[in-house]
Amino acid sequence: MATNKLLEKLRVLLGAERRAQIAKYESIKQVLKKLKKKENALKGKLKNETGVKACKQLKKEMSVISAQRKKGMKILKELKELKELKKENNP
Amino acid sequence: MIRNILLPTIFLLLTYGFWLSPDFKEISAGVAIFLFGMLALEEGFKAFTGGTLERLLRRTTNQLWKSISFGVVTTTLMQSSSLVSVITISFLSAELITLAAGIGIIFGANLGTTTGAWLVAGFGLKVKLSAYAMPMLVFGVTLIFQKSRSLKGVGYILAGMGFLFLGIHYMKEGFEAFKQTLDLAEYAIPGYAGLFIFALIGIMATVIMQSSHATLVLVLTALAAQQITYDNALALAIGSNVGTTITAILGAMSSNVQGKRLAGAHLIFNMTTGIIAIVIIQQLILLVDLLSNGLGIAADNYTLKLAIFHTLFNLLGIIIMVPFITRLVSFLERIIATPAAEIATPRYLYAASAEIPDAAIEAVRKETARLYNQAVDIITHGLSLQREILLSEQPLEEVVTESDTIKTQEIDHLYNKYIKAIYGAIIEFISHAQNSVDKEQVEEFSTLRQAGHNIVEAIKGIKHLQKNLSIYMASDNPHIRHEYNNIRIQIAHVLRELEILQNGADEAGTILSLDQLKMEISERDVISTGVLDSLIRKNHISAQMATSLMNDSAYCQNICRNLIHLGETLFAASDPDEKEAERSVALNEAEIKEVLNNYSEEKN
Repeated sequence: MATNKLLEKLRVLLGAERRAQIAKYESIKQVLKKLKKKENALKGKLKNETGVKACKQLKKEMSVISAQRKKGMKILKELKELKELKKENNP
Repeated sequence: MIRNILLPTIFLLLTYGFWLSPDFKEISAGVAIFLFGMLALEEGFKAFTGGTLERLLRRTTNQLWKSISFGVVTTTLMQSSSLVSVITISFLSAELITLAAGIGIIFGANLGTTTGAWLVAGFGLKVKLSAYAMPMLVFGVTLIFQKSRSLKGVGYILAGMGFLFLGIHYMKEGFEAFKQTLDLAEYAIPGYAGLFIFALIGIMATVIMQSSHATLVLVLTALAAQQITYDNALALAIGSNVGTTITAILGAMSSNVQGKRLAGAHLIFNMTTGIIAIVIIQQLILLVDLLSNGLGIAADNYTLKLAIFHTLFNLLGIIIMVPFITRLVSFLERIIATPAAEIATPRYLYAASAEIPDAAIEAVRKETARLYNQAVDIITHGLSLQREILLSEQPLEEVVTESDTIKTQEIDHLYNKYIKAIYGAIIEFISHAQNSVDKEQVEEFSTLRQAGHNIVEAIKGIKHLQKNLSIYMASDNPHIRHEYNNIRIQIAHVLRELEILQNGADEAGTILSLDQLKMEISERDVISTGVLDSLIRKNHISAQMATSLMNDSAYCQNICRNLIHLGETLFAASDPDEKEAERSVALNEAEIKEVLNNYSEEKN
């Protein structure tokens, strides 16, 4: 009985953790979407921009966004792997 | 609105007055020089605070009898109660003495000034201090240029006294026309009505001539010429005693609340003494006669009798008023209240919300955002830019060249007025609120507290930066001006980005856009980019300029970093999960460096 109770508690706890991970996963996805949107907007601006200085500035901004997206994707991948690992452990 | 039109109206009126009457111009210049003298005097006394003068004054004014004696002795030596009262106001403004001690000195000064009547009446002597104004100014200004703090202090005191005398001199000169039209014989009136009228004339004459001595000389002459009666002469002396307070009132105009209270005490004392003297004038005359007999003064020697009367009624005033000094102090403190400090106070921090963790966090966030907005005003002012430019799309390069004259702002004053109290309240509120919160909330409080600290650091940076900014922006060297304009642009750029984030002007904008700023700051560092070396090598800037630029560039970097850091806290997403996600995607210093390196390689 005691073991069952403990296991139940553990399941709930894991559930909460899982929920938190799902929330994090979704939030990062949202952030990445925003970044993608911004990146596309900058690409559009770059196409129409003729000034050398402004072009440089836009490219710089894009390089930062690209680095942020890379970082975000990496975290997303890790979270996905963790999710799948847990699924395997608790089918 | 009224404040905005008040100063131009005063200026217009004064200009019209100057155009209308040269006398008015002279009188106004006299008042201005006099007030300037007061300021110089205060500055001088401040140089001695915490030192010899403070100890000396404390020792000589720590008891009522001592402060009264101090007043008597100094006024006898200086032969000007007005000057002693003005100096006492300066002592008070510099917080060298207490109000009670100041009142004691003023009482004493009233008695000391009567020695002038004795000198005039007895020996026909009058120490004319105004003749010393010019040498005082010359010695004073020479001493002001000295390095030693105490010599500078003495210089300010001498120059201050010189300016006071010069101011009085100009006022007197200006009123010369009035003095000539003042024929006392025309007003000879018997009885109490005459007493009051002559007391009023005495007041007017002293106010106009700025010297009770001058009035007294006039009275003694008129009395000797039998233009006025003895009674009327006494009333004039009483009036001159009241009128002499005008100098202290003028002096108090440029002083703090304590100085104004002292001028109030001076007026109350002289008025009360005057009224009492008028009421019991017959008894006083009798007493003067008795004393004159005792001293062997001839019954028709009205001039000396007037001197006795002058001393007697001032002494009477002191005897009557001394028991009420404590009450007088509390009365003055009540009617001339310390003005409510115009210091910004917290708007969202209430003790009740400290009990509810989420409400407390929100309150602190709102208050910190408010603090940030006040700080933006101070920083833009410090850079001599308008806050509105942060919301415009005008290129910053244009903005800074349009306003390239740096007006020195009192950053310390603005900090004390708009930041200090709120920041202190936030810290205190957080300390109380975080007693009953969980770990995450403690972290949130700690981040907000850090944001407050960033605000304060940014303002400190602006304060340091402003000094050289005002020097080098006015320099003939275009290279140094360019670099300092770059500094202004950098900070304004960060503020503009934060403004966009705060207003949600960019839909896709998140605190992640601040990473871009971080990169730009590293990119613009004059040291790591070699800009500074290049400027020195090409002899475009001097070694001194290079040192200043190096330090100020570091200040600029710190200001920007602090602003970005607080932006990350204040303008993060309101949803906790989204906020967490943004923070985990944001680049750290090493990652930004890497992006910068990759970008430079690509460029090459």
